Amino acid sequence: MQASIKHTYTEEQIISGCASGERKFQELLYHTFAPKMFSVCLRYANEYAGAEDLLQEGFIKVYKNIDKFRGDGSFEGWLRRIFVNNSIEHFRRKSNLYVVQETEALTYEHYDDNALQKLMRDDLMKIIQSLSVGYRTIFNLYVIEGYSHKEIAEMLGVTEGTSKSQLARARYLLQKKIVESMPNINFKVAEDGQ
Amino acid sequence: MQMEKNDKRTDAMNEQFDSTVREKITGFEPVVPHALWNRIAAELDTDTATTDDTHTIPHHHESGGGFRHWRLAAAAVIILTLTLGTLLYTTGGKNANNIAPTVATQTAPTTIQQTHISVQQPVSTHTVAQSSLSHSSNPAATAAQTVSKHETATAPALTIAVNENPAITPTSTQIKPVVTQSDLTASEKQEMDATPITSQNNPVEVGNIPMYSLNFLSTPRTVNDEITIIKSNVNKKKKHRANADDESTKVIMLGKKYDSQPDIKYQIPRRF
Repeated sequence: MQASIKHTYTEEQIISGCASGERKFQELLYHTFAPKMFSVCLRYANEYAGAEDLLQEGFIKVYKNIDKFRGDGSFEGWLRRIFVNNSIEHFRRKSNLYVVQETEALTYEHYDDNALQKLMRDDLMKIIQSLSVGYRTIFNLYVIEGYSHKEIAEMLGVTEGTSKSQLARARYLLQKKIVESMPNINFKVAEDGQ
Repeated sequence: MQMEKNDKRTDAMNEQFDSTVREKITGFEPVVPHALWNRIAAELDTDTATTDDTHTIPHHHESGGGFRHWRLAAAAVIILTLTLGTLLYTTGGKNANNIAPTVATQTAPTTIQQTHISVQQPVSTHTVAQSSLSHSSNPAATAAQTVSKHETATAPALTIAVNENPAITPTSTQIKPVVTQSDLTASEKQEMDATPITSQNNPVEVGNIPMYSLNFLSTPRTVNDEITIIKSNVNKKKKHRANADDESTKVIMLGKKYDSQPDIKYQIPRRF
């Protein structure tokens, strides 16, 4: 049913319908992009329910501001930026996110890429969610969204050095958690190393 | 050299790690809870209802806006009037006193030989200087001496001098002289001399003329009490709101035989 609707309307028609406030097009937009945007929300949230809230808030913002989309870039990219910014704003409101201490760049010495390769996607998401808000946000912005440290610093109101050190710390913690979540692989890696 | 190698190795590992994570996550599309759309739709309905309400509100505002503006304007006018009135009421006496010295130089005061007391009365647009010595046989002494509004506006300053045998020589016809001892009979003088000085603020006696404060005069008087001239009251603003500076000097003519509140014919002009 949804697939047939997708084929019926173009992206421009959906956007135009949402801009005019037609519920049918709003629902269509939701069903089209909700899974991808929910993935974004899951990465920035620390739990499933929080991700649902982020998704709801994000779509409300999208519907209210869709008339501002000028078609310069891809619509999905525009949507993603809204959801990312909404997630950052959400956690900035809730907690003092970025009072972070400068840490030196670290690499978890026992990490092996095989562990990550064999890790399930859902498990990786849970590990990312388990990071503290600051680490998680900077890691997502840099690694997944592709923002530079300068851009991240401007977005979050921190220094570039803080962004770098927090990313290094987030990476270190992720590697450690990944290895700890798969002790057998870690053990094998150690054995291979010997 | 070794450090650089390690750094490069670390960077490479980090890039490898980032790339792997990105690959794993990029294509991830979790199942979205179906009920979420219902929540979003409900919120959108709420927002739409709120928006509709906000469309209707301006009509009410517009219809009531004019009336509200009128009410605000009226309130502002009332408040302004009250404020100005209060200011004028409280500062009117001071302003009047400030005028007094300038006017005094233009008018010729009533001069008496052997001057002991020099009293200047501030501008008094409402001033009534009155003597009601009813027991006196002298019509001039018993007649109420009223300084009218127009007269005091131009000649507010009075200078009164008193001594034991005053010989009043008015030099200005504009100023109606107040009743002094010269207007009194000998028996009245004697009676006055016997009047106790009970002024709290100015228990001063110049010559044989007792002087009283307004406080004293404001109290109910006994029958047959007699006061002729009051001078130099240190006025209490709270009790005598029309008064000006504390140190201002007043001339007050009073009648006698009060059995209630004395009729103090003294007012500092209020400039309205």
